[in-house]
Amino acid sequence: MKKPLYKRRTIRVLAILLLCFGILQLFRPELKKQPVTADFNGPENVKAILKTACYDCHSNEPDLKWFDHLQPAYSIALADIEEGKAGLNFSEWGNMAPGDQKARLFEILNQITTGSMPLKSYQVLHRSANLDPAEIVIVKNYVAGMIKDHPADTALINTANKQFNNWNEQHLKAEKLPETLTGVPYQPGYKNWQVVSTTDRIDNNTMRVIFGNPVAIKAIAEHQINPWPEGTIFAKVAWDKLQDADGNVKTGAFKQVEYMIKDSKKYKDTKGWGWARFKTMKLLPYGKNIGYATECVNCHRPMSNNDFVFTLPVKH
Amino acid sequence: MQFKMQYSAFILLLLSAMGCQQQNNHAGELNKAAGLPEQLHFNQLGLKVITSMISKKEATMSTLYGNDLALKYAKSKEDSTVGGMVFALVTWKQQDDERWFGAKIPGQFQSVETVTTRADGNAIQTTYKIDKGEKLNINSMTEKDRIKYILAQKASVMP
Repeated sequence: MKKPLYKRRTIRVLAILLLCFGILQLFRPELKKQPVTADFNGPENVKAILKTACYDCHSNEPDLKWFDHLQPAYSIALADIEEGKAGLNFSEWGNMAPGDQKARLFEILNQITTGSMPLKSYQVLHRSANLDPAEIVIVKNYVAGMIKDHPADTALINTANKQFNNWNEQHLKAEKLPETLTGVPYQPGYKNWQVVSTTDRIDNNTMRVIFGNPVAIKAIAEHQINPWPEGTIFAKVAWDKLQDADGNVKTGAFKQVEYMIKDSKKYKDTKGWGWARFKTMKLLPYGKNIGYATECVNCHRPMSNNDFVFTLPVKH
Repeated sequence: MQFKMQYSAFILLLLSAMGCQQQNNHAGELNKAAGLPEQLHFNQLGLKVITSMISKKEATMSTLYGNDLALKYAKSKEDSTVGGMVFALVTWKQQDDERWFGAKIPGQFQSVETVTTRADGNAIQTTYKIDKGEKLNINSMTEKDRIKYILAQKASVMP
């Protein structure tokens, strides 16, 4: 004697699930429609690639697939779009200064070539977001074309000279040390630390020295650098590059010093590191709000398997 | 049971799709080629950074270090040498930074050039020494030229 169909357990369970799914569809957060005010203005072929791969989460023109509209996927998609746009929004590209646009392009390229973006979890169901090698080459060539490498002009040299001549040895008083909005402090002691490495940045015409505090240097000596030990501090100092006619480059004006401070408890929300940047001789802390470190972490994401550190340490 | 199996298989598939495209970015490694010869014990000299420079022609990058007297000299606007200064200029061949398109980092270690000064009555005696990395034929600049070059460097501004 078979049970009638509606009494079978599997069917019942399925029916209940379907009902829940149906009810879930009634809850729809609102996708805020915002106008495209200053769309990305690069060459058409580059734009087409970025549009396909990035615009779904990084623009005011998200193109949701039919299955993205079903809950709970819809809520996830909307959260992703909000987060994506907060980090980078191609619809507002033109609002950035040209220098910032260039910096963003190098960042975008490096995120793409390292496979950090588009997000793998997104690519699983959105194959179109996946860039093929030929497309990456197109983006790479466009970005590489932005590299400008020529002898320094008078303005750059004058700025450097003036800064050097005004550089006074007044040590900042302890109570006046600047700190970021999240309380990450400027530490003047970096000048006495040893060096982790140096970099020559052709993307933005700066040169850098990365200092490491004694904890960092000991970690390098013992080759215990992934993860870096608690208490590690890096200070990365950047200067303008001053190139002469023979291609000899020396440091020009001081631009900024950046810190990464390892404290897994204190900075657990930002991958265990405190992030800071102090700009110009005034040491102005970078960041418009307390969420500024998200930007730091996002840019360092390609190095997530290396404790978020880009620098390849040199044993001295 | 059947359902669980399929579920696990799906999760595995998802994980593998997400995880495998990460290229080798040398996580956890040191910059082997750039390492200084251990017998120099460079870190233990306690020298501080004075400045750094790049030569596009030679494709090299260098960092100039010094003791406190050397640093003070490189910061000052005058050009009066004193005894007791120690300068060390470390030079590397450049290599592309595999972790950041648009950057170059130290490659093969090339040399450490050391300049020391000693007060001898009213005169300042200057000594020059070079420690080379392996497989290196360094440019044929004279000692005198190298001393002059190193003493001519101004300190990088560091607030």
